[in-house]
Order: sequence, then C-alpha cells, then structure tokens
Amino acid sequence: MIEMRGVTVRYRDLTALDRLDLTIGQGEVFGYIGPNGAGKSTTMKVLACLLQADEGKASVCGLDVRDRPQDIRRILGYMPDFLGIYDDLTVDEYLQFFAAAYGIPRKRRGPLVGGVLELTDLTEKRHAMVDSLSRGMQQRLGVARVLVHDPKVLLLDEPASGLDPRARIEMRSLLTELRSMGKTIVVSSHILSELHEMCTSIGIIERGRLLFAGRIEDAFDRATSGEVIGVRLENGPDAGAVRDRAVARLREDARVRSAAAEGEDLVVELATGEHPHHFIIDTVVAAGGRIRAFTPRTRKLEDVFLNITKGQVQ
Amino acid sequence: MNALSPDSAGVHAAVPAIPRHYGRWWNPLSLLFGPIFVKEMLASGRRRTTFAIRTVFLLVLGTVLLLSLSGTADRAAGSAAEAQRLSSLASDFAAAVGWITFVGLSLLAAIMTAGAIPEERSARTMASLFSTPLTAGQMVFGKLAARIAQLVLLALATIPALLFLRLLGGVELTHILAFAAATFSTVFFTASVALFLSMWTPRVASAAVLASIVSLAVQLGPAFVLSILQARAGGPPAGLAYTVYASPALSVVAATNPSEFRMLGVDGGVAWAVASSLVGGMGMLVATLAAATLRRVALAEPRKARRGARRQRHPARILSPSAEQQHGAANAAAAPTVTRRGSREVWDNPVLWRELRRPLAASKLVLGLFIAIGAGFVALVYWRTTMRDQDMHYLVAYAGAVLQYLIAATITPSAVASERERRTWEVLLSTPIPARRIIFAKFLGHIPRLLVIPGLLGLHFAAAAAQRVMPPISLAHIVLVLLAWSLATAATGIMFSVAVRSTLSAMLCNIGLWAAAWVGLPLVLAAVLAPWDAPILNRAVLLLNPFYLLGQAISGGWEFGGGNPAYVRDASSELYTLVGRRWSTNAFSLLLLLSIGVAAAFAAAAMWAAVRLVPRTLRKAG
Repeated sequence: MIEMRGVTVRYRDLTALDRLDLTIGQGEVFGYIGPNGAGKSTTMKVLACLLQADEGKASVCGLDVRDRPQDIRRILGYMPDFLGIYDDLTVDEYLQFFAAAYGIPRKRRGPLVGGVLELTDLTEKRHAMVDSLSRGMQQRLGVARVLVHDPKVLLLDEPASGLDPRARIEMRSLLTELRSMGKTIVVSSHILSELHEMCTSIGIIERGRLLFAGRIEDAFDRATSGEVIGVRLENGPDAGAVRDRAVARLREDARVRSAAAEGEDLVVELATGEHPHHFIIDTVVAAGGRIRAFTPRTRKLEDVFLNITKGQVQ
Repeated sequence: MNALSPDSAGVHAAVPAIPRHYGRWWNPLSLLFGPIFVKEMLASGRRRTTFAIRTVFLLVLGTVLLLSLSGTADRAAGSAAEAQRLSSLASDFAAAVGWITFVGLSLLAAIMTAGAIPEERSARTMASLFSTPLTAGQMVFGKLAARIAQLVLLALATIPALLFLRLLGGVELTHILAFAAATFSTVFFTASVALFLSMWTPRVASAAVLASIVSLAVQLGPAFVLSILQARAGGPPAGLAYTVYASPALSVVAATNPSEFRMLGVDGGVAWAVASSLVGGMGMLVATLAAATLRRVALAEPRKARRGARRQRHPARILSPSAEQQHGAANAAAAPTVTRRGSREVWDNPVLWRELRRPLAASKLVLGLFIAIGAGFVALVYWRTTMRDQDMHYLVAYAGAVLQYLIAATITPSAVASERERRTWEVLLSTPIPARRIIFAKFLGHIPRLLVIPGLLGLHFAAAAAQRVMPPISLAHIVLVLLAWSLATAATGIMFSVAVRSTLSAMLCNIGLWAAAWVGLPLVLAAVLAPWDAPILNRAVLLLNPFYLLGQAISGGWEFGGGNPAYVRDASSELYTLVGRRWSTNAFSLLLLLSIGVAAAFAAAAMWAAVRLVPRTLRKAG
C-alpha cells in the first residue's frame, strides 16, 4: 500500500529524512514514533505529495508520488499536526468545502457530510461555527474532513496532540473504528501507550533515520530480551543487605539477563526463552528475603522506544 | 519551615526582586523600555523585512540625492545666473528629503504598527502576557516605542543627506526642526491609531488602511472641509489659514514659506510647534485609550462570532460506550459553541466560493466607518461644488484612486499569507485542487472588492457626461485605467502573499513595488537619461502610472467637453497631452489600451510567479 525506498529530504544543511525505506501493508495501522524534529511530519508530507524528496522513490497504492500526485490526493487523507481552520465557516460548510475540493458532486455532498458527522459524533454541531468548537471537537472535525472523500489511506500527524484525556479516549475509539473499516492508517503520536493499543505495526525514526519498522511484537522482541519480573520484599532491619544478596545470587543465574534493586523492589529481566518463575522465588528466599509481592511487569512501548533510540530524545 | 512556604528564604532567594517602581504608569523608563520593547526590538532586528525596509528607504534617499546631484551638475554648467540658483538647491533638496521622510515614515508607521496586536493574537501569547506583572500601558507603549524606534533609525539615515547640504550652503535649522517635529508627531499619532484599531479588527490590512486614512484626515481634513465650504463663495475662506496650526504637514509648508503665510496671518515659525504638539497630544490620548481598553478587548472572544449567532450550550456526547463508562455521562464537558440557523451550499470551486463570501470589511464597524467617511466626502463635494468645476473632478478622481490603490495593495497580500498563518494552507494543498486554481480563485475572489470605487467614480463621470461637461469616452478611460492597474496591484499582492511568510511583509513589499514603479522609476530614468536628451523614453514610463494617466484623461476630457470652447470638439482634435505631445481622443484611447495591456502583462506575470512559488511555501523542517 505504501512504499518508500531510499527517500532523502534535505532542508539546506539539515537532512530531515536519510535514505528512508518503509513498507506499510493494506489495512495496517502504522504507529510512527520519534522525537520532535525526527522526520515524522516530513515523511507524511512526502506521502501527501506536499513535499518532493531530493532522492529516492515513494508510492501510495502503487502510484508514484512524483508522477501521480493528483491521483494520490484523491485516495489519501492527510491531517497535519496543527489543525488550521477557517473561522468564518460552519462545520457543514467546512466539510462541504473539502468535499467540493475533492470533486464530489453537489447532490452527494449533503448525505456524505451527514455520514462523516455521524461517524465522528458531530451531528449536533453541524451548523456550529468551526472556531467556536472545543479543541477535541476540532480534532474530530479534522478527522471528519479527511474522511469526506472516503480515502483508502489516512495520514494522521499527532491527531491526539493537545487533547484532554477524555478527548484522547474519543480519538482512540474513532481510530479503532476506522481500522475496523479496513483503512490503512499512518498515525504519529507522542502518547506511546495509545499507539500500543491500536497499532498493528510501528516505525521508530530518529534524526531522519528509520531505526525500526515492523510488527509491534517484533519491536518488543528486539528491544527487550524477555519478561521482566518485579519482586517486592518485606521491610526489616537487614532488608538492604538481603536485597543486595538476592541481586548478587540472581545475577549468577544463566536464566537471568539482569537484576537490580529499584527502591523496595528487585527488578529481574529474564533471558530470552521460556523460563519458570519459581527459581526467582527460591533464590530470594534462600538469600533470606520475605516476599511481599511478585509481579510480572507489562512491557511498554515507551521501553521499546527508549531502547531502540538509545535515549537520544531531543 | 516548609521549603515551599512563601515565607521560606529559599523561595525568596530564587525569585528576583521586582523593583518598586516597576509597572508604575508615571515611570517612562518602565513604560517605554520594558521587556516588551526589548522583545520587539530583538524580534524586528532578526526579521528580513526590517532590513528590506531600511534598504528600500536608503535607496529612495539615494535616488533623491542622485537626482539633486545631476540637477546640480546640469545647472553648474550654465551661466552665472544659473549658478546663483544653486543656493536654492539646498532648500529644495532638504524639502525633498523631508517630505519623503514624512510621507514614508507616516505610511510605515501605520503598516508596522497595525500588526502589533494581531501578531500576539495569532501567536496566542496575549493571555501569557497578561498573566505577567506587565501592565497594559507597558504593553501598548512598549510596542509603540519599539516600532517608532525602528522608524527613528530610518530617519537617522537622512543625516548624511543633510550633511551633504552643507556643501550646497546648508539649510535653515528651523526647517529641519519643523520637518522633524511634524514627522515624529505624525508618526506617533498614526502608530497609536493603527495600534488602537488593530485591537478591534482581526485584519492587519484594515487597521493599516484606516489608520492611514485617519492620519490623512487629521492632516488635511480641516483645510479640505473649509476649502469646499468656501468653493462657491469665492475668495480665501475665513479661518482656512488657521487650520495650519492643526496640521503638521501644512505647518511645515508654512515654515518653509514663511513670507507667503505671513500675509495670511500665519506665523510659520510657530505653527509647526503648535501643530506637532497638538497631533502628538492626540496620539498620546489614543495610546492611553488603547492601554485602558487593551485587556478587555484582547482577552475577549472574537465579537463577530457572537453577532448574529445563537449561543448554545450542548453537553458534548461521549463518542463510544466504553468512554462513556469510564468517564460517566455526568462529566461530559459542556462546550459553548456558536451555532448558525443553517449552512450555505458550497460551489464546485470552493476556494472562489469562500473568497467571494468573505465580508468586504473586517467588521461592521470598519465598514460603517468607511461608508460614513465616503458619504461625508461625497456629500460635501456635491453640496458645495458643481459639475462645471474642473478641480472637483480631479479631487473626486484622485481621492478615489488613492483609496482604490491602497485597498488593492493591502487586501490581497493576506490571501495566502493568512492561510499560512492559520495553518490551513497545507490542508488546502493536500486536496486535488491544483495550485494554479487556488491562486486564480483567490485573485478572482478579491475582484468584487475592487469594483466598488471604480463603480462610484463611473457614476460620477456618467453624471458629468450626462451634463455634457465631459465626453462619455472619459468615463471609459477613467474606469478602465483605475481598474486595470488596481488589478495588477492586486495580482502582485497575491504573488508577495505566496513569496513572503507574513501578511505585513507581503503588504510592505507590494506597496514598495508600486511606489518604485510609479514614483521611483520615472525619477531614476529622468536622472539617468538626462544627458542624452531623450524625453520620450523617460516620459514613456509614465504610461505605467495610473495617476498620471488619470490626470491626462480628465484634462483631455474637460477640454473636449466644454472646459475650453476654442477647441473643435471631435475625435480628431488633439486634446490629450501625453509623453510630451498632443494626441487625439482615438490615439489617446489606443495609448490607454497599451497601458492596460502592460498592466495585464504585469498581472499575468505576477500570477505565474505566484503559482511557481507555491511549492516553496511547504519547505519547512518538521
């Protein structure tokens, strides 16, 4: 569906994209992660035919962005990171405006606008002035706009930025619904936990270089070797010494990749492969510790991101 | 003691002490040169527009200097009598530099200050500013001081030119003082009015145009009204001379021609001080009013959104059942929204549809002011003069032309620049509408606004033709010249709107381009071509100047229509003077068609360049 090969974009001395290779399949929800200025928006602009790459090739649905920009614009919906609005239009007029821009005949516009308003739950704001909507509603209107011509591919640049928690949940539900409609979605966000829940694949970009692109499970496998277990010990007069002893013994075990004390907890990262957990309990008890809690930790996309980018967040 | 307690010494040590005098209204240092002044100076120092303005201003001054030198060389080669005229050259040159500085800085004051509040609004920094200990007075006067300081720097550029006058025998100190006082009082007044208006209107162009009109009205309004009132009575109007004491511009004329004004009972040596103090005081009043109302106006919601709209409070619905469960319907936010009774149907060309539906003025207040000023002017002119008065036709045509070109030069620079400022430009370009269609739709969408004044002038000259004062062809001449060159001005405005990031810069570039074409180019050509005795070449460039063509169209039409009965009035009579010779009506019409063709070529080239520049607008790192 989306192919980028060796795409390079330069802004004078700055290389915004450096020989980017990316493949996104049909129906995928691709989470695009990277620090500010990493090149996420530039990638989206290249795909939206707003920016020409200095080198390399990019295509959407087999159409080259350089040769067939008009055709691509018809099958693609692009929502920039900052939603600009025309303050002198109503919601209905705003959507009609873009429906007309996509060449949709007048007779079809009314029902179409009604449909996307229903999908984005803005029906009762149909005749409201766009600039009087709340930020969350404006973001939803932005999504409604990109849906007005029923595109196959959606490029959503930070759709949840600046939204309050409730509006973020609404946005996430909307994107999940779009995924169920079979649309290919590229979404960038700084809120990694949200991407984790709705994406089928992710890409991690830093300083114009794509560090990882693939299935979300593969990202976890690459960034972390195995499960992480948290063990909380009961406090006692010699709790510190017990913790140190347990850490030292765990580190000697070949099934443990790393072990460390974090406050009251022992954090144990297992080596790759399937390992029973009881040996950890045995080791801690043997070291004189009394276990208060034993919790396998959930792997987070934040950890993947920090591991892959080596913490070089700008 | 808690480390975060207000009484904690640690907290006190961390927060720098605010001087006791800080923010007091009576402290001029705090009022004028506070953080706002520093920030504005730093920001403007980095802007390319600032350097462009300085360069253009220096180029204009250099051109005047060149012309004077060329005139000096020409005259010095002549007889002893000619050499004697050198002594008057210094005052002529001083007057040229003085008037250029006066007009240029007054216009720049309006344009540069009109963006003061809209810039803060678009950057959403107004609320942050008001959350600091800064007072509204510090904001208003700080912004004024910074922008006037930029203009003072420009004025300092005239010092070398004035030093040059020493070579020619110098110029009276009173003249320099009169020019300086008149210029800076007018600059302060115009800047204050522009800043005040910029608080009330979201459009920079509206504030700049209105401030220029108000400034012009203050300078020439009283004299104009008294002249018109006296036009039918004949003779010098009673009290007309005393308007000099209220107008810095007229007071400078009085200061440089004291003997002539003494006969009218005006003391040229005092008038400039009185007029400058008066206008400067008015500027202070307007700035104080701006400071007093800034907080209420700047933090209020856009008023236009409230007008004609029904305010409703709808609890926003939760999108999905899961979200509703998590947050509870009772917690749904109540978002105040403004709702219209219905929505309009959008055309198949949405960009043109939107442009045509944008209001003529930023607000009903601005539109009302424009209509009131225009209606007052027209009523006064028609009440006190007749169609048989040739000067009246010049007055009507030139007032209309100045307004028309001011509007044409200032409305289109916001066409694309405002889309970029609002961040809607990328979205528009991501649709299948080709860039050329967007650009042309924006151009076509502005045309109705440019038809109002030519339409009104058309009615006036149609009335003149009906009374057989002027031939009907004059109506076509005047309207076509006015329209063709204003469309060219609008087209270059669109081009600058694409080429330059901010509306204000685009506006300045557009005004600068046409000032150079209509005033600078003829002057430069006259100076450069003087040694070759080729008047036809330097006069031919006047075919690009609609003000010149307008004057010739009226004077020729007047002779045709009845102003000069000695002429045989038919199409072959050579009644029109153009580029140094007489032309028949038909030939003059052809020359006007040629000029209109050049205007059309300008417009086409500007539109082509605008379309070509569109991809450049997207090259920004992200």
